[in-house]
Amino acid sequence: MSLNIIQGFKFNRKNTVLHSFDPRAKLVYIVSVLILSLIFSELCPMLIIFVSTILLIIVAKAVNEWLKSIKGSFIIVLMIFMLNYFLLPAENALSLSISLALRFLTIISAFSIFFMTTYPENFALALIKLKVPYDHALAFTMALRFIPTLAKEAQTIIDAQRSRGLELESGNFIIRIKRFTPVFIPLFINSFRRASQIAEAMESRAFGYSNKRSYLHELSFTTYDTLFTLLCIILTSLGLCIKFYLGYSETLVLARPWP
Amino acid sequence: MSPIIEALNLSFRYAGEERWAIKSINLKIYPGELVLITGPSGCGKTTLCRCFNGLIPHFYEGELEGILIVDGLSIVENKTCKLAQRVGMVFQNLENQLIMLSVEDEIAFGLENLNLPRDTIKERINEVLSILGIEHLRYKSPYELSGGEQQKVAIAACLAMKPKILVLDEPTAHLDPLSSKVLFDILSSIRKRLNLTIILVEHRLDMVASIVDKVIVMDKGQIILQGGPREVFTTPIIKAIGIGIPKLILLYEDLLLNNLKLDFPPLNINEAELLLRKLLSR
Ligand SMILES: Nc1ncnc2c1ncn2[C@@H]1O[C@H](COP(=O)(O)OP(=O)(O)OP(=O)(O)O)[C@@H](O)[C@H]1O
Ligand SMILES: [Mg+2]
Repeated sequence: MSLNIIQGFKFNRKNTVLHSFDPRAKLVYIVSVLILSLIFSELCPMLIIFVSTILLIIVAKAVNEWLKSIKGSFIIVLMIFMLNYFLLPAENALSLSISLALRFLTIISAFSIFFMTTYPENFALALIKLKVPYDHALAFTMALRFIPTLAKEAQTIIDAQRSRGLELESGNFIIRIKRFTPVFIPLFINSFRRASQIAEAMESRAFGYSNKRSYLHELSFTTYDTLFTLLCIILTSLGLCIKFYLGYSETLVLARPWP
Repeated sequence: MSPIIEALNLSFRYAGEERWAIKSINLKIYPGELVLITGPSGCGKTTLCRCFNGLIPHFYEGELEGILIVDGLSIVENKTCKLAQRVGMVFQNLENQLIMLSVEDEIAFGLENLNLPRDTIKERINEVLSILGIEHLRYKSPYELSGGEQQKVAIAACLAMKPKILVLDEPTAHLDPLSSKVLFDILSSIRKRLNLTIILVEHRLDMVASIVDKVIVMDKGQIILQGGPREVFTTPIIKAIGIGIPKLILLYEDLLLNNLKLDFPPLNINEAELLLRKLLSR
């Protein structure tokens, strides 16, 4: 299950409009989705936002990966729905719990769009353009790079400890966490050695040679990026207006055809 | 011709250790040579390699004595990041030297550090990808690659910086025999093409004996033998150290004990066949 969730967050090299967008434009999009889906809890606007993310996923040609991710997180969605449905005292508990589950789905889908269509190196570049120091951006890239390596290593250690009789599956939450200690410790110690070897390799490739550095990739904020960003901002402002100025139910009344 | 690497009484002791990891190393390596360094585990091969690009004394702390001049630069006065343009280093651990998310970026990393213009970076990426025949891996992630492929990427990333010297520390430790053979073929072809000086730490002597110009045998931090491969491998004291002497050399010595003398110690199958035919026709 855990690996499937990652599917929807891995960059996939395709040629779509979304892939060509500047990461900064897509960051604006994420923020918009976050704002919109957090201010509304009604079913109808939530559905609209959700459908819009799905449309973008179709545009990004990433439906399969996204579905895998969603399948992987299905249990969480179900839990959100059930907990709310049974615990909320409200009379519209059903529609509310559906929209809360949708909110979760929408937010992870928005992030998934970002990560699936943004080449990580460009994300690092965007961070640098946003005045994040290069070292931090590099640390981010490297963290992404070493996730699969660490996952593989963790699995090796788990297998090794299991073969020596370590039981990981049974017991309650606390007990399980405790039982993972013999997995964490070697993982932890190994990462020190790894960090040192990585640093050594980086210096051997002239890291720290000069204060200036050049970049293979370049970011360009095109007209399309501007349009996309504007669209996000306008829609978000519209949402904020409806929520805090017009009032959601009044807007509904306004939108209803006059008799 | 003057040596490209010259060590005079070079010794190094890691901080907090009592023993010298390498002791009184004297060597001369000439431009274009392919030099093999071998010796039992813990004899100081990796430590010596770390000296060649200044990781010792700049990255590893400790006590350094003697002199090491690499391509005209003293390792004491020049940091690793400066020496990087002259000495490329391929480490034993394959994965921890590949730090970026794609092969292309991996190769670009060193060039970006050197602040080279974008066009040059692109040119060099294409160049090294084609030299190593890995154009198809360009957009792959390092963790999607096999050991042999990772090795080629690590070499490509070094070569892109156009070093004069390439140091490889046990490059085949994680490779199967076939990929190792491929690697050695690549090394012997690029050394001529790029005019490289190559220093190779290796245990698989059978496979490399015929491509190296010089062999350096180390034991307990010291160099105990150095010279041409035929000469070094047939020196009697080499048997006492515990390194895997090439089988063809063993065959040569066995025949010698039985009063069958080949003209010279063979280093590869072709040579051995030729010499044996000659012996039989006598
Ligand atoms: N970072 C370090 N700190 C302290 N001591 C070290 C360090 N690295 C190596 N040593 C010690 O220096 C000596 C030489 O080690 P080195 O790694 O150079 O040997 P090696 O010939 O490369 O061995 P191997 O074939 O196992 O790779 C060993 O005694 C080792 O314990
Ligand atoms: Mg070593």
